[in-house]
Amino acid sequence: MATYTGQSLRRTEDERLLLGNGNFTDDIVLPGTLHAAFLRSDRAHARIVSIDASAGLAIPGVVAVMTAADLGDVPNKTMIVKRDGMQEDKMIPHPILATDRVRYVGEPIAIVVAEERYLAFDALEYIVVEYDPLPAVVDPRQAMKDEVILHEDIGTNVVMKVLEGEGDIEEAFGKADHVVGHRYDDPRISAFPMEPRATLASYSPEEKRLTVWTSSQVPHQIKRYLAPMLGLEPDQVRAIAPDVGGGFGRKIELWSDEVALSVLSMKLGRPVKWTEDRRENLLSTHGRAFTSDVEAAINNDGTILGMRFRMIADLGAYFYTSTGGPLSNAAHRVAGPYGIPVMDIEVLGVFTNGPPTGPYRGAGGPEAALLTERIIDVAAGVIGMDPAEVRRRNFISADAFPYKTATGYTYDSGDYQRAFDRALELSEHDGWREAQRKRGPNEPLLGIGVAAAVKASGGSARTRNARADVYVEPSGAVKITTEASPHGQGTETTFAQIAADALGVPYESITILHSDSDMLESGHGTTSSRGLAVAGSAMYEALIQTRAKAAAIAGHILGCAADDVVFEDGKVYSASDPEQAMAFSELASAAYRPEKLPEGLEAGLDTKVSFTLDSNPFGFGAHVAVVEVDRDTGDVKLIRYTAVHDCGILINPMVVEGQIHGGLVQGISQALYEAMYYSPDGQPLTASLMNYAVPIAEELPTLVTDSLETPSPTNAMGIKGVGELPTVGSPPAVANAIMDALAGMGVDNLDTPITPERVWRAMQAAR
Amino acid sequence: MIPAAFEYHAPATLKEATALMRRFGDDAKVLAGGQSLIPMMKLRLADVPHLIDLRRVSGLAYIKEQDGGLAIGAMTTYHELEASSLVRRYAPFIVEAIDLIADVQVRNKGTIGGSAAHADPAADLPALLVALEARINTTGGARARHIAADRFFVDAYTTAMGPSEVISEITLPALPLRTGTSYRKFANKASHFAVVGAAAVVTLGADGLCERVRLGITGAGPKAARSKRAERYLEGKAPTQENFQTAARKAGHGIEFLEDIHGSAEYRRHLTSVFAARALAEAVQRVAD
Ligand SMILES: Cc1cc2nc3c(=O)[nH]c(=O)nc-3n(C[C@H](O)[C@H](O)[C@H](O)COP(=O)(O)OP(=O)(O)OC[C@H]3O[C@@H](n4cnc5c(N)ncnc54)[C@H](O)[C@@H]3O)c2cc1C
Repeated sequence: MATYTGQSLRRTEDERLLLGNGNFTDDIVLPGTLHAAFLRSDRAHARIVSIDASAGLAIPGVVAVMTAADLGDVPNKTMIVKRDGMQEDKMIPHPILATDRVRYVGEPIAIVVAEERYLAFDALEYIVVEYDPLPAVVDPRQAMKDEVILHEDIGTNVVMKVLEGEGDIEEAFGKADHVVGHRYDDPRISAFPMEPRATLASYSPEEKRLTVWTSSQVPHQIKRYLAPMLGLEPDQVRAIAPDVGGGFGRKIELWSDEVALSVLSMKLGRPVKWTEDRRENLLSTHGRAFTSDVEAAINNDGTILGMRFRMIADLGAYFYTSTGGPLSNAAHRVAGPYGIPVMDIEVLGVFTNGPPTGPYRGAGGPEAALLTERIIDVAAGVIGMDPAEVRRRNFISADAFPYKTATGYTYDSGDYQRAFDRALELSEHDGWREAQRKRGPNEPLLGIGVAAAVKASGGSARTRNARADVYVEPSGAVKITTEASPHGQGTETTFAQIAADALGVPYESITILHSDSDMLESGHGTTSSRGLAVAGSAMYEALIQTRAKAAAIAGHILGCAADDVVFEDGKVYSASDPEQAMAFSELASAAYRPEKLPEGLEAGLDTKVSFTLDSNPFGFGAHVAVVEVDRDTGDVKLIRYTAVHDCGILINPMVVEGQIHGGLVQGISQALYEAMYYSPDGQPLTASLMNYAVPIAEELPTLVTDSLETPSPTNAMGIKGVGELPTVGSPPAVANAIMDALAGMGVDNLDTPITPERVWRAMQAAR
Repeated sequence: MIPAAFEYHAPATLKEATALMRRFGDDAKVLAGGQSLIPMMKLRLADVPHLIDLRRVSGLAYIKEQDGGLAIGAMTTYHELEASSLVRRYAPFIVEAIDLIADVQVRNKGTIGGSAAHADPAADLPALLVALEARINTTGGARARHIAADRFFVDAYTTAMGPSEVISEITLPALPLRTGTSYRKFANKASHFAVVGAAAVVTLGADGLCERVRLGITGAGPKAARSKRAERYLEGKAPTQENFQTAARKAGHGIEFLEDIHGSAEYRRHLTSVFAARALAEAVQRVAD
């Protein structure tokens, strides 16, 4: 019986964090710690002629300066895996430290360690790097011309190609009433975690063991990748992600920085610590970075016959493990919630002189939705139909699931029409349309934008498996070890809610342990909206098995059948004879005493589970944005935002709402504010908060949200996952609202971020 | 984000402070609220071997009435200005402008003297100082000086102060009766500094015409400056939308427009006229209120 599931319990994590008692990597103090600072390239593309660190080393208190030459047996490359669309001979990994060439501003060249952090920074100024500059290329379309080549040995910058689709697109275009097309740029943006990256590496020469505390979403992967690089056995490395202040996909790597710090700690036999500053973070890695052409064939009745996508992804200068991930994701995800029969997709991946890119909240989903959702609005304009109506006419219907898209996905369940209609109603969509018609020429322009989005949870088959341990102590306290590695998701709260209900015990008796590779031997962390869907499902399976064993023991003691045993309110009793009862703690204690057990049952109440989620659940989001545009300046004000999500069964509605708010704001910010700008020669123009814009609270309206719960048949709890979902539909909803406001002026295309000057220029040009 | 090593001095009097300034010359800078200087040092954009903290110098933070206007000590914080009924009564746009500067934490630290001395081309208060025809009083040079605001701001981050001079006080002259003020700002989406800010001080005559007009523009060019053409155009004319618009179109005259990712020169030119018109109209509106 669900006592806790479905309740908006306050997050157990919050009190500690809000009172400043969090324990982030930078808070961890070990005796004898050395402090590191990185010397990073200030050139976008250059040969390194020489590095002279002698003056830096001469500063008292500076302990070591390491360059690539000092790596010894450690291979000078990070680990990468082959993904869809990658070619074996073109998989150039990111080096640990640059050797004879740098390929982006921010690329690590040397690392200084000193007794004090200040000294390490001082020493950076005394390391002299002589560069021989090379021409740089930052625009992926320019890079495709191969006039400037980043890695000569592979002879081209075009290193990935993903093809996807179904049906004959030429035929669809030929028979359609209209074909519309546009190019949309989706620039580099920062994941912008509140806590930048931070690592403390500590090697114990006595124990021959390296412990790495790091601000990561994937501690087990850190261990798995790091050990072989350092020539260690897996059990010689322990990776711990303490409190982590946000990741958003850009902390799912073993970064070269982490490797370098580990190497140094092993060399010096002392802990080495590094906390990135905001500038380093802004220059380390980015998300999105697509530029795409999209065409759609539509009939006058609103039926979409087919779409063609030609997408180009800027990979940056090297591969990290996740760098190529968004490409195939985007290829699958362009289908959105629509039953479009014909799809033709090509995604190319291109090296440029920028930092490596990779999945950022949504991981190809927002890149895809921006195209599908924006072109639908253009098509709606051409046939003169309300964009909301065009979407309603093309939604996959509620009775069509499981539904196979023309892009190779199988959607599990949903009721898109109902959730979308709820969003229209909640946002007073029709009322705003009326208000729009009544706007006077001296009032700001009013625009209404809708978008709909589907997002898979759980990741690829490679990561759709998880470990979980449940251990009921003889006292009745329950300790659960999950491979999820939370960094803001409220996992300690929601997992405890599930566990308390499964065992019928008080919520307070549950402890959720996580984020330490010594607790579980493997895991995939919290990425790809997999926390609840995969790691949570694994825990649920372990709980069911635990309960089954506990029921067998209880039945034996209470003299009833195991399936007659009820777990409730910290008690265990026979359903048919409730007088036959015992406290859960008594049962737990009995479970460890062989004389109390039925024949053949081993003592103990602990369960280890390896679980596989066979297929992905797919969540849905419907968005309505209302904006005002200042006719004089082009400034956009978001005045109302409504979103209705279906992420399956809600464990904790408040936690879900928190995830939705965060995701919406990141998407809104992508539409209106964010871009990492580079000069044509590869110098960053937005490397601080003076120039890189993120919104503040007063720039956002109240977010109106609601949920619809269609249970997913893919897992026992019926959940779908919510982490990335809200970020997928929000950028196009805002973009569509702005385009709607400008439609009367004949403005037909603006790239995100839709800045005031871009709007103003478009209005000027249209006048 | 770690500054280079520096020597810290905490003089108790202005005299001691200026003596230190003379002693260390270019190697020294005074520290007021630190809201511009400290970030520059941390980013290693400013190398300051000797930091002379003015916060221990007594008697530099005050707001008092003087000759019908105000005299304000250089170390008076934004917050103190914002909370002052004297300031609110003298010219409400000062309070409004400050409300648009950063956040409470910054306003609790940042000072009027620091804002003027720093001469950031995108800072807000300098537009008001030129529009109010403020005087910047300095000490520590060959003699004490009273520098008119529109001569004080020379270029980006450059003022008319000599190397050992320190701002001690800023005076704001009395405003005529029937004067309205307004500050309107188009904020940079990242830093919220001014892409363009327009400060208008308008006095209506008994005949209802614009008698005295002062318009200060910040953000658009390398320094805050008065738009004298716009002022001259509007003086003696009726306070109509049309006249504001025409005057505002002249507001950009003489400005060498800046250009960056937050606004091209062309866009800044356009914003200058939009915000000048809005500020002029609102200032006039407030005379009536
Ligand atoms: C997050 C943030 C946002 C901000 N947003 C805005 C904004 O929107 N608009 C805006 O206008 N400003 C903004 N600022 C800047 C802020 O207004 C600064 O406080 C101001 O520019 C400098 O004042 P200060 O007292 O802090 O000076 P400091 O930083 O201490 O000094 C600045 C410079 O002036 C010199 N100086 C200071 N006092 C004197 C003196 N009495 N005599 C001679 N020289 C002196 C110093 O030597 C230094 O060179 C922002 C600052 C921050 C940190």
